[in-house]
Amino acid sequence: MSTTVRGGLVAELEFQRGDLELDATLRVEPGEVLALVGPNGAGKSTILELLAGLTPVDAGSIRLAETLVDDPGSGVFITAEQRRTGVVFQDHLLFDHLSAADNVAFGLRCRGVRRTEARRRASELLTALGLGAYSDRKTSELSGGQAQRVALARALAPGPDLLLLDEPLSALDVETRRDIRRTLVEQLAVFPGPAIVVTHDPTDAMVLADRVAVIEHGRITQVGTVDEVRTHPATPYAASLVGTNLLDGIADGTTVELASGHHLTVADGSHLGPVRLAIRPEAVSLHPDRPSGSQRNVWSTTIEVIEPMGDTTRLTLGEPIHLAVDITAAAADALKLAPGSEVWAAVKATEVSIQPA
Amino acid sequence: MRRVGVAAAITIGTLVSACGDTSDSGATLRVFAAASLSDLMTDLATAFETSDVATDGVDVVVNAAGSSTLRLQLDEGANGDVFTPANTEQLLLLDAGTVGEPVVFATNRLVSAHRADEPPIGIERYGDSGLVLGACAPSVPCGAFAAVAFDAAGVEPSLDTQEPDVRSLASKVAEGELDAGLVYVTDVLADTRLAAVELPSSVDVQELDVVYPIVQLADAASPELAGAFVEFLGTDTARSIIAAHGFGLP
Amino acid sequence: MNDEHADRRPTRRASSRSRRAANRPPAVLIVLGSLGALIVLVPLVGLLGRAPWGSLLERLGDDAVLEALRISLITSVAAAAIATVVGVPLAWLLARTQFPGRRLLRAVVTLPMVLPPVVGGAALLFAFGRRSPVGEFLDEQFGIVLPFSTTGVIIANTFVALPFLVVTVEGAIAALDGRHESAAATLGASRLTVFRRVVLPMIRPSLVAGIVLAWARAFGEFGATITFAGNLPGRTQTLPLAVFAELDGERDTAIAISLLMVAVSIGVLVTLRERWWPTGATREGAGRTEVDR
Repeated sequence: MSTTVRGGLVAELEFQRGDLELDATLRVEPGEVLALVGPNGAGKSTILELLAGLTPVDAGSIRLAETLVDDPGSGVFITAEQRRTGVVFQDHLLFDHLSAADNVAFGLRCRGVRRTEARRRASELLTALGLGAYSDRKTSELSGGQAQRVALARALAPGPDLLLLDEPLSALDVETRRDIRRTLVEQLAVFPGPAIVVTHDPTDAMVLADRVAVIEHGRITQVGTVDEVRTHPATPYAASLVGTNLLDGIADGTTVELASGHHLTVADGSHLGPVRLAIRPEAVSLHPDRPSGSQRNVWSTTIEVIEPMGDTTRLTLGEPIHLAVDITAAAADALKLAPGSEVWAAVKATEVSIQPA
Repeated sequence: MRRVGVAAAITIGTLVSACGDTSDSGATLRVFAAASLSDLMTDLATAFETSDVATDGVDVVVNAAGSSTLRLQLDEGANGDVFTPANTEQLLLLDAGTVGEPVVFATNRLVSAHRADEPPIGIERYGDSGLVLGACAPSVPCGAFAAVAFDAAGVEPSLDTQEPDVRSLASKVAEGELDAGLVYVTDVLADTRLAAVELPSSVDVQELDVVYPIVQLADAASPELAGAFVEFLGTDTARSIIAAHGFGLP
Repeated sequence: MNDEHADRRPTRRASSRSRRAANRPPAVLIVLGSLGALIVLVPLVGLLGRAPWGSLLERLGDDAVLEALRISLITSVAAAAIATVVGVPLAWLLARTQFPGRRLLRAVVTLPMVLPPVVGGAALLFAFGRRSPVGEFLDEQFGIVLPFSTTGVIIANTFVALPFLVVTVEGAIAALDGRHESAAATLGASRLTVFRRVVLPMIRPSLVAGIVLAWARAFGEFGATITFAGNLPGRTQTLPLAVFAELDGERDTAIAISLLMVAVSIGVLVTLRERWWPTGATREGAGRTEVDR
């Protein structure tokens, strides 16, 4: 591994292409992993393109490891081949005419390392990732998971200052995804520089990242730890990402009036005016009759949709409050629910998180 | 399978009706003429069309190429009414049928051509490898005559090209790509850029008689017209045109 | 138990028949495709039918024929090589860079494909003939006369063959989505390294096809050669020129030489196809393992 002094990433990105107007600031410390999540077209891949040096920014600057790599103001632009950025792509983009070891050695050879030394380091890295036996195989013969691990090794081999992963698990099936996620966790833990993982899968974000940045329509709408975003999603997209219900309302002390006219009680009475409520699907309980427990929020409603998902069943409630609810499959069976059934819903006031809109 | 059959029938039917030669008999006369005769034949054709021998609306089409190429086309079934090769050998080789005896209507002679603004080069200098020289390919009449001429002149020629027809040879000399080439005197007369050096009198051999016979083809679409054209070439009108182009008269 | 078997058999027969029916190619494509094949096959069969099988080897053993074969092979291979060395970079520039007049240049490069070869030969004479600036310079300084020389044949062949290579390779490069090239850039590869170690290997089938196409075009070239380089046995008479020469005289020899050209071409195409030109079948053979996808 290279011994350059590593610093973090500070990027102020202003860029326009087609319909996308990007204006985002990112800061990632060395050793930190930031997950970049957002809907299609939000600008995630464009951000990676700018950070990798494949395209210059229109305005702003990118500073990596104490070095200015892109600054239109002072005319600085360090191209991709001179930047020390490792990229792992969604469909690995391995060079199929080369073996796994030659792929991994590619970056080293480009930087002038001799062939035998490069292959030796490549084999070492592949062995560390459990692919020692596949060193000399053509990458076109590898499975998806194996190929993605080779791609990771290829990106890491030259000792980059910044690691970018573009939806690294999206193209893999569920079981392979679990394996490779584990590999990524291990490698990201020892990677000394900053790393950014672009993903649309909240599980990936939760498992791999220290912090999450949500980007929508070219703007960062929320940055925080995984827990922060999960419990206090700032936008409907963020909420749908973590599967939380988001409701808009007007607060007056501990009572919040929703758009439908219904009222919910919250524990935190310090808010006044337009607020946004978040209710996790697991926080809602369903009962055949009006429950007599301590929940402050109880109402009668009907089931709209039932989706069995293994051990959990997800239900969508209709009027007066549209909510996604997760209960155990056993509980769902016991309730004998069907679309259209009437049911009583209950949520504790403490389980309704509130923030200003 | 029925659909394949119908589709095939329609396609083949369309193609067959589109091919084949639909010529108007009586209105078109096809002349297969040697390359060296193309200009002469064009003028003779015009004269024939306007003569009172031809009926109204005669269109004479001249197909000019190397004599052996023409003979090949005729043997393979091309439609021609009369054939005028640059030598009698092509007539002997002709498989296609002819009507009547061939008639010689013009003569020519071989000369060494060079650019008029360059020094002259005679046949005796054709052994010089420092010069860029050309003759026709041996398989065309002009080339066969050239071979006889070199032999008679006692010259071992150092040629740089053997052109497939005398026109391309003449034009390469005229353009200056060749220093000299053995062509017909009529080709020199037809191009003001060229000048000729006659073959020395020692090379006056009978085998060097360049004669142009014309013969009517058995397969002619319009035999009367073909016969009329052959006769027309003996008339004074035709003979004066022939002489004007620099050909000799039999 | 017996009833189950009875029920099963009819459905199996019906499904295999309907499967065969579903897999049969559309009638129109069969008819048109067969016509396409016939257009090529009929003249070939005609040639084979007229061949002088008895005297074939004797005719082909003639010195003039062997000379023509030698000149044809040397000039066509040289032309293909030159076309490759200059054509591939040109194709890359056309596909991967922007510069004013790029589209015009692309059109001009394809011109020799459209021009009648004789016109091309005439153009070469105007450019390199004895009365052109280039030709005069070469003649005076080095005594080199390009027309009527073997080098002239190579030039004429390269002129007509180059567009085939450029068009094929440019199409292949342009069809790459560029992402592998971006990946290589992030790994530190300069644009030249990307060209050598990523682009060229990735377009190898098209590159080979382009080279073979260029070679074949040069091998069969007639009009530009005879106009620019002339026709001299032993120096500039290639196999096509020999065929033309013999067509007037010994037609059987012309047919024999034509068969020789067909044999050489088929030989080249068949051997190259197997080794370098993966068809769908061979690519599947190289195969993916089905393990833990």
